[in-house]
Amino acid sequence: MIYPATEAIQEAFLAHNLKCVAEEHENESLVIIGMTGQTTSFRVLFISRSKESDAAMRIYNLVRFTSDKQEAMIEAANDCNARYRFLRFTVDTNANTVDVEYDFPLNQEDIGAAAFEMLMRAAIIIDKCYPEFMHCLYG
Amino acid sequence: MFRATEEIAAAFDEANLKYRLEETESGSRLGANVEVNYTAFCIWFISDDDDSDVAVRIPNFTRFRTEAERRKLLKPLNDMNRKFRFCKFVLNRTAQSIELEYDFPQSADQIGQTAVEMFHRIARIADEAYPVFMKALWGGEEFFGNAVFYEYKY
Repeated sequence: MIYPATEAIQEAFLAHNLKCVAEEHENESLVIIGMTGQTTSFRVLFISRSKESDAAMRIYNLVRFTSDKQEAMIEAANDCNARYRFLRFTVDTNANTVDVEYDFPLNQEDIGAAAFEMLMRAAIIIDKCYPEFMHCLYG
Repeated sequence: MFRATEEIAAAFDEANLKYRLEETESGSRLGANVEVNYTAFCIWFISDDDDSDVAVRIPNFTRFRTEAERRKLLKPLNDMNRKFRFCKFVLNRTAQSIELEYDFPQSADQIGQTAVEMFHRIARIADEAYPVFMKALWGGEEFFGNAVFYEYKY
């Protein structure tokens, strides 16, 4: 089923003339939106798994790297976490990727507005952080 | 005292949670002490303006002294960030400590109730994460150094 948070988020994005897609899966529903910044482009997922406006914003595979760079990427992720509010940069040590996460408080009345706000914040923050990861890999 | 701080205080009163309020030059904040299985800390709800911009912070959650200890904490820190939703663990080099952080969206409503819920969540997360950091700092073989034990005959 399409959970209420997914519907609200999609409505909010469409009201802002943002192209997005809603998908329904067995245990979750999600809104997917592509973003292009100055330094990179990425897909943002807003995932809901319950009726309680439970929404999680996830950006998977923002950066891919080889195993030998894992420690450097964990340092870079922590530096970005320390410098910027809201988003949480994590390193998937199995897949060797950097993911970005944010979890909305439960039962938000206007989850659509909150999702739009966080999408805009993510675009700005990731534009600033992406070069840090690239310097780690190639600098 | 900013609006969000007052709303959170009202919600804490309703939930019978003890707290203290502080006004600073830049804003206002509510602090609540927590005792869990392995440690105790203060969770701060900080407001710098009259919107619902509330930052949740647990400063100095785990402290470290040396660069070697800092490096030991990095991977567990990342593991905890991947394991738990909502709050993020941040290693602060200047303060030589790990801090927990969560930021409410500015468009958040019912900030009081949400703050109480987040208070309970973060306390549970901190309780689970603390032993992981302690083990990383103190659980290695080098902790015992090169101690040599002699048998004394009296």
